[in-house]
Amino acid sequence: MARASESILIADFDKLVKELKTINPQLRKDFNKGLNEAVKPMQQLAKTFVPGSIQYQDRDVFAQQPPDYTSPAWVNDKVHRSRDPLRWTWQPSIVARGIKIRRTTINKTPFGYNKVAVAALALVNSTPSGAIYELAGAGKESSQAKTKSVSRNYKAQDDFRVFFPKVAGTPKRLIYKAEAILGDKVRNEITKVIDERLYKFIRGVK
Amino acid sequence: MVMGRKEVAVDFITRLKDKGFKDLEKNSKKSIKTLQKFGKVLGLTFSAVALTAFVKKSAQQFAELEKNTRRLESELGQLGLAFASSLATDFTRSLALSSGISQDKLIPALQKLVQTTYTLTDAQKLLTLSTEISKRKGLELEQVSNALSRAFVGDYKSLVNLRIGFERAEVQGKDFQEILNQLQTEFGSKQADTFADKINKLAVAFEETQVAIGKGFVEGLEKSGLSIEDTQEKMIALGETFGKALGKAVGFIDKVSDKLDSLAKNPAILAIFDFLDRLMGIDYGAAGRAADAETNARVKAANAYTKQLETQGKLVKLAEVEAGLAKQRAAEIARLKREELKRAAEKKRSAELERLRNSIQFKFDIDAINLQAALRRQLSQTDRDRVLQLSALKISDYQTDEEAIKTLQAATQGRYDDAMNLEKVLQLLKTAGFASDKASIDALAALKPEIKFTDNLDDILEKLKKIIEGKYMISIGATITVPNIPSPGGSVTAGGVPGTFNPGGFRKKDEDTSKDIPVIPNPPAIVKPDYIDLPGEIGGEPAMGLKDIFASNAAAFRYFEENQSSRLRNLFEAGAVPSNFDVASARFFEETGFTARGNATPSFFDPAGFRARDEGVVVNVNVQGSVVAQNDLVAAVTDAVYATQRSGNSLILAE
Repeated sequence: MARASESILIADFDKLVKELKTINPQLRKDFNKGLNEAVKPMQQLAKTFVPGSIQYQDRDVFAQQPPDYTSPAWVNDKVHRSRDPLRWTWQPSIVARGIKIRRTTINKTPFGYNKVAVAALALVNSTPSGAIYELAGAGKESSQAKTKSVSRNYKAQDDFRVFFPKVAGTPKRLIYKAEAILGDKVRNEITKVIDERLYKFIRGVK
Repeated sequence: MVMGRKEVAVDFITRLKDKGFKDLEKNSKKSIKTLQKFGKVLGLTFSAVALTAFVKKSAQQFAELEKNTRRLESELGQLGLAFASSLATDFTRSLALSSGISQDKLIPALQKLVQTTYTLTDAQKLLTLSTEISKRKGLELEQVSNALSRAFVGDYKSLVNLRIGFERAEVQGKDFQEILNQLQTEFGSKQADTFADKINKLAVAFEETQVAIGKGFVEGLEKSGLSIEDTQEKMIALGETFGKALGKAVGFIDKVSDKLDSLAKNPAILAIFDFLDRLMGIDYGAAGRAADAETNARVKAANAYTKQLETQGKLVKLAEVEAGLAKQRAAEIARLKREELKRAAEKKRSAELERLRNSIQFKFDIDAINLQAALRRQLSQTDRDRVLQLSALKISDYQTDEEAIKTLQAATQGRYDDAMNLEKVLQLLKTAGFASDKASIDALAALKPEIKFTDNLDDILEKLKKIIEGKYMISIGATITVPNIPSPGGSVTAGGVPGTFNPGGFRKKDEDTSKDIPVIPNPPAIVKPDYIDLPGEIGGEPAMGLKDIFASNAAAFRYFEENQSSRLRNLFEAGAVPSNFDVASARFFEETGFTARGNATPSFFDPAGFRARDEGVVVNVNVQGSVVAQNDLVAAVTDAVYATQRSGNSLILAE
C-alpha cells in the first residue's frame, strides 16, 4: 500500500475543483492536466517494469490464455474456479495498459466520525494479474494467516510467499517500484502544480 | 473472513468524503463504549440503555439538522446567496430559541419560503410571521409557512383554509402586500409567552445542547478516544444531557436551573477538568483559570466584534443580490401573467369556435346534403342561407381559429360578403369538383383576389367581368388553337379551320356510311373479274341498303359441317363469300356499323389535331395592355376557366 501519510490531503478537493470550474473552466482543465502530467513519468516508468513473460524453468507461471476449465480435472470442479478468468493470464500489453492515472480509487480510510478519505489522484495497477505480480509474496505471515486459501494447490500460500519472489524478484515490482524511484519527485511536482497554478491564481484574484 | 476489496494504488492526493447515516450510527455504537469509559472517569455510572438512547438521539438530531442545513445552503447557493447561509442558520437558531419551535421545523420551512420568494429577507420575514401565527392559532408551522408561500405567488386558497380570519371573497383580487400588512398588524407584535411556550423554549435549548454534543463531543471522542479538546462548557452541557438521557424529568425550570448550577459548581467535575488539563500538559490551577477566564473574555469580545463586522458585510451584499433577484422575480411574474392571459384568450377563442360550430352543425345532416348540387341549383333564400352556412362550415376546416370564427359568425348572420371571399370560393370549387389539382387552387388562393362571393357562380362570373371590363381585351375561349386541319382538297399550310368548322359534325359525317360521302379520297382501283361481286355489291354496283348480307345462314353452316364443303365457296353463286373475304372486317362492320374503309386512316389524318380534339382544347387567354394588378389577371383566368367549363369540355390545368 502506498504510504498514505505522504499523500497530500485536500479535504474539500471536490469543492475546490468545482469552484475552479466556476471561476474559469480553463483553469480547472489546466489544473487537472498539470496533476496528470506530474504523475505521468511514474506511470511510464512503471510500465517499463512489466515483463514480457514470467517463466520458471522455461514454463510460464501464468497461462497465456484464460482457462476454459474443460480438462477432466476441472470439468466438475466449480468451487475452485477463479471468479476472474484473466487473473492467472499474463498478457503484458493488458497489464501495461492497466497501469493508469485515476482520479479516484475504491480504497477508503475512515476519517473523523462521518467522513472517509479517498484518493483524488492516484496511480493504480488495475488488472488482476498485474496486482498479483505487483504484490505476490509481500504479505507478512500474520496477514497470510488471515487469508483463506481457495486454491486446490495446498502449497499455494507458500508458493506465493517463497516461490514467486524467487521467480519475479522482491515484491512491489511495478507501480510501487516506480514510486520508490520517482515518488518524491512526483510529489514535489504536484505541490508545485498546486502552488504555481492554483495559489498563484488565487493570490492574483485577491 | 470477508475482507474489503482493496486496489493496488499509489495515492498522491487524498480528499474527504461524507459517509452515510449508517456509518454514523455504526460509529455511535463505538461511542457508547467510549462514553461508558468516560463516565467511569467522571465517577458517574450510566445505564447502557440510557447511553444508547442518548448517543443515538444526539447523533440522529445532529445528522437531521445537518441534512436540513445543507438543503437550505444548497437552495441559497442556487440563488447566488451561498455567502448568506451562515446568516440564515443564525436566524433560525435565534428564532428557535425565541419562539420555542425546533430548528428541525424552522429550516425546512425557511427553505421552502426561500424557494418561493427568492429572497432571504422576505423568507425570514414570512417565517417569523408563520411562527407567530402557528403559535397563536395552534397550527402546524409547516402548514402556515406553506400557506404563506403559496399566498406569496397569488394562491390564497391555503391561506383561506387556515381559518385565521380570511375569507375567499375578501382575499380575491388583493395584492399579497396588502394581505401581508393585514397579517402583520394582527400577528406582527409578539405576545407574552405562555407557560407552554416557556417549556418549549427550554426544550429547544436542550435540543440545541444535544445537537452540540452530537456534533462536537461525539466527533471529538471518535477522533481521538478520550479527547479533551472541548471546552468546559461543552462538558457541562454533556453532563446535563446525560441527566436528561437518564430519564430525569425536566418539568420545571427551577429544577433545571438548579441542576445546571450544581453541575457547573460540582467540585468533582472541576477536579476532573483540572486532571484532564494536566493530561494535556496545561498547568491549570485556580489562578491560571482566572487568568484564562480574562483571556477568554477578551477573545470572545474580539470574536463577537469580528462576527458583527462580517455580518454587516454580508447584509450589505445580501441587499445587493436580493435587489437583483427581486427584479428577476418581477420580470418572471410579469411573463407568467402574460402567458396566463394568452392562454385564457386562446381558451376563449376555442370555446367560441366550438360553440359556433355546434350551433351550425346541429342543423344539418351533412352527409345527406350534396354540396355540389346545392351550389348549382336555384335556391330559396332559406336554402341559400343553409348552403352558405354549410359552405362556411366546410371552409372553416381549412382556416385558423380566428378566421374560422369570423367566417362562421358571418355565415350565421347571413353576411355573404364577409363570409366568403374568392379564396374560399376556390375551396368551394374544389369541394364542388370544379378543380381537382390542389396546387393550382393553392396558387390562385395565394394571390387572394379581393372579389366577394355573393350568390352563386354566375354572380361571381358577372362580377369578374365587371372588374376587368374596359381594362383588358380579353377573348374568352375565342382562340382555340388546334393544329391546322386542311379543308378537303386543301393543304395544311393553306390556313386554319374555317369559322364554320364543326368538329362533331365533321366526325359524324365522316363515319356515316349510309350517306353519300362527297369528301373521300379516290377509291383504290379494284382488279377483279366483272362477274365477281365484292361484299355490298350487286352486279358490280354498291348494294345500297343491304345491310344484312352477312347475316348468319344456319342451313349453309350446317351444310358445311356435314359435307366439309361450303356452298359459300361457290363464287358463282350470288351472295357467296368471295375468297378475299375478311372475317374480322365483316365482324367490325356488323358490330359498329363502320365500313372497313371507315376504319382505315385517311391520308390527311393529323394525329396531333385528333388528340387535341379528343382530349380537350387549349384555351389561350390573350391579354393586351398593361397588367396593373395580379387580381385582375387572375379574374381573367378564372373567367376563362368558367367559360371553358360551360362549353362542356373538361378543364385541364397545365403547368
